[in-house]
Amino acid sequence: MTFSSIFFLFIFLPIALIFYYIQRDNRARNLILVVFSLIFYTWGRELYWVIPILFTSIFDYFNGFLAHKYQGTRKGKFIVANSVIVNLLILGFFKYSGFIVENINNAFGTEIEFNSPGFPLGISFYTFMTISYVVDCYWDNTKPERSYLSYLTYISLFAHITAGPITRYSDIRESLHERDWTVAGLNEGISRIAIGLGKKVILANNLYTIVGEFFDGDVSKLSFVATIYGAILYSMFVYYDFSGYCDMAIGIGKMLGLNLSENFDYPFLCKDVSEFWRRWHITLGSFFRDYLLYIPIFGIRAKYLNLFLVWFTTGFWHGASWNYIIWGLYFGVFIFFENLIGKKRWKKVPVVIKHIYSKIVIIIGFGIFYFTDTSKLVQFFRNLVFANGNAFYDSSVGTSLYNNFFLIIASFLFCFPIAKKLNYISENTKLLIPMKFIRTVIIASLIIVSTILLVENNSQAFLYEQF
Amino acid sequence: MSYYEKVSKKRRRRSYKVDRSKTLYKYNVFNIFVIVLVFIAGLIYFIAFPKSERSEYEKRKLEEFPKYKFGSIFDGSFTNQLSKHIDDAVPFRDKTKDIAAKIMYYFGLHAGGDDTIVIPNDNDNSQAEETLPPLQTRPPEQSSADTTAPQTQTTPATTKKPFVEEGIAENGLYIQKETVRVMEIPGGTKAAMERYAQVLNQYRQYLGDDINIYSLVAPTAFQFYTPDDVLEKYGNQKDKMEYIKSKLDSSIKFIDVIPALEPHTSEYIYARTDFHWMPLGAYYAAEEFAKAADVPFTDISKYTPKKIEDFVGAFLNYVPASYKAVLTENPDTYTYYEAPNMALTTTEFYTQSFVLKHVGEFLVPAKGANAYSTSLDGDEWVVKIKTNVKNGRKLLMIKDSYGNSIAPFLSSSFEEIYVVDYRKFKLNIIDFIKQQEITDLMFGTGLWGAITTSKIDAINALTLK
Repeated sequence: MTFSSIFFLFIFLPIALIFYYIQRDNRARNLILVVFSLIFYTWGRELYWVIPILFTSIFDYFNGFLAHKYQGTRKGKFIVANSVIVNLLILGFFKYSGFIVENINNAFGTEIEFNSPGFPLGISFYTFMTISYVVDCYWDNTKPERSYLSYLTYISLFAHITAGPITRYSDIRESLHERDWTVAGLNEGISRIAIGLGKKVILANNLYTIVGEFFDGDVSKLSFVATIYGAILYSMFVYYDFSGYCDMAIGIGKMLGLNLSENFDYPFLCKDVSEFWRRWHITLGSFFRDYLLYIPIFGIRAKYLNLFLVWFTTGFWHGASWNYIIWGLYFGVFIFFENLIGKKRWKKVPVVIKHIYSKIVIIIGFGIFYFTDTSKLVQFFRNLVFANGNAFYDSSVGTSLYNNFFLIIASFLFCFPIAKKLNYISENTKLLIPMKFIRTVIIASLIIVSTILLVENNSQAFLYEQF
Repeated sequence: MSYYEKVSKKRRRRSYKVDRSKTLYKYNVFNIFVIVLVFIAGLIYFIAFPKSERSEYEKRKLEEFPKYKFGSIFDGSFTNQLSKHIDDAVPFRDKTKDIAAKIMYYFGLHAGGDDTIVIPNDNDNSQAEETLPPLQTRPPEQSSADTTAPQTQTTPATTKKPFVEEGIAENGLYIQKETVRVMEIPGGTKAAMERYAQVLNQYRQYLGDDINIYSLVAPTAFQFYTPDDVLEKYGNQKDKMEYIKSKLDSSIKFIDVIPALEPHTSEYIYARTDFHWMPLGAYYAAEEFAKAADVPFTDISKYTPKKIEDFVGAFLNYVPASYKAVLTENPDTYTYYEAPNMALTTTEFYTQSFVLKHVGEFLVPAKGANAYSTSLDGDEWVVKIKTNVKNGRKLLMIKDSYGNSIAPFLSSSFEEIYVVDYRKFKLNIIDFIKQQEITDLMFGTGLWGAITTSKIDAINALTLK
């Protein structure tokens, strides 16, 4: 089940909320959430897929206790290591075994057969959440959860189970025990669901259609400009698709009185690649920063080896494909150079240059992200250096720009914090009432328009649901 | 400023803040109320209103409510089908899609303004040559004493291109905005055209010289309604017709209908929203065929025209979403023609295995988006028309949907007309032709039927069943 479906929006979510709101007791609310989350989780899939997540939740529920009890001791370290290894093995088995076998076969000419069993929904996300929980218990960043029901609510919550955000237990603990409900929060929640839906259905789905027109055919025939154009639109698509999902997830969380972590902060405003990653998929970046980057795996002096390990892992986490690994390392290389240059010298570079540099790196990066087929990825790079002998420009770009002019303009503008500024203006001037009224009209329209467009195209799931 | 003035200003500011927070609170409640109302309206709409069962625009049956079977909950098939049903069988689906198309267009997902939108063709529509696998051939007819092993059959060839239906490519459309006309940009390689000729020549071999064989290839509207430079850039269909003709056995008559249609381009001979020709276009083609077959033919002035309004054809599913509203607001008018001898004919509708299902008329008026199935009730049946003509001529037409519109104009030309769709017929066509004592065999397809390997192989496969 995906958030951007009529079934979820108008059947599942309202029913879940009705059952949730009629409960007064927090435990009963958690129970309702677990029941609906497991229904959500197994909807349209075999029921046995619930086993891995139940196993992980029970396993780490106890590990959390033990890690906290034995913190600072070798036993504690062993418990944490045991939890991390078992979780990563499960993740590796479901997500990466096919890729590993395929590469062994290619490298050694073997013919090992492996039929992928598929993988549990959201395994990349809940594995990281549960690892962070056990490590935080060991580090005493949070107290272990006494109630298994509360812990299972955190792990399986349908708002974030499929594609995050990777919320830390310490961030949600309080609201799991005592709901953080305000009228303003409810209003923000319901509004963010509408905004996220609009981002996905109105912008992302249409952007993706255009990207396909350029990148799904013979990439080697694209002109230079067409290649860049496709990559720009794909960057915007990923942004609206994933941030749209996160808006909906956070919005649902707020409606439930739970505070999920923010995942985006206008990433295209960044002036360098490091800043981009502080604004993009924030929860994943902070996970790697806190749990991998600052742990001196290769020794204190070999900090750059750790940096490349982080970026290799970031890429590999996204999927079992070489392009994701290249994608991660590609960003790692730029961040490495930015670190080498140093903050002081970097500050002296004109802002315009920094913006141009960061946007070029990001756009090419998303080109890499698109092509899971390595031969197409090679063609993509060849186009960028004119190695395919193609023209600099062809009319397909002009036609596409012309055909989708307003969509592209809107997609470009909403990369900037326009709504945030308008909100600020409305709350600090006499325009409060008219502007808020207009906001309501816009939000209601977003829901109606998005729903109508969903009838036209209900087949596009969120990109990050596959990770 | 005095002390009292300062205190009073502070108080005013504080009370202003309290007022604003009250206003914000009220606004938040109002906003929640409005949005919840929208969701409740949606809930009622999707649950309480009658579900759509079929989409006329998409020409398909919509997902049904799942039937419960033991185990369907456990394997996820029940829940999967249930959400598919809710997402797909939306109340008033076609109307909603109409609105979606209008939103896409009017709310700015399209710039608008120019004359044409060109959607670049993909590679398979190019004129590049392709190498095709050898054609499958029919094993030589065996006498009871013949023990020769049948020839090894090669795997049927398939095209690389995912033709969705009747030669419509996913891309490759040319949209003329001024006249609101959508056209397919024709492709086709010489290898494919040669294969088409080869298949028809093989029919000649199987059937011998006692039967007249004709090939009638319907050009697409692109040939007649595009500027010369565009036509030359993407390929003039006259060249294709010439090439096919040159490769056909001399005993097979090729009916070149382009010269017959050219003088009538100002008439309604092609749909604007559909890839088909209109019955009037088919009439001019049928006239040309009748001349070649040397059979009587009734002038159109003797026919009674009937109109079906609001025909929005299949292009609705292939144009960019932003252009759909334009098509729905500018539908075609489908005009069909009742033959003067219609009351004197009998039309039998058979299954694809030639089992009689019912008897009716060869024109079965349909509404709106289905208007094109008026002739012969679409492609579902093998049709046999018995006419009042007594000339001993029996025509069998191997056709795709282009051929449907031709048959009604031949009711005064042949004693019997058999219409077989090569994509569906289940019997061996050579045996069938012999059993029905056919005198004239016509291949009446659209251009794609003569330039698409999979379609050509389907025509060939009829001889192998």
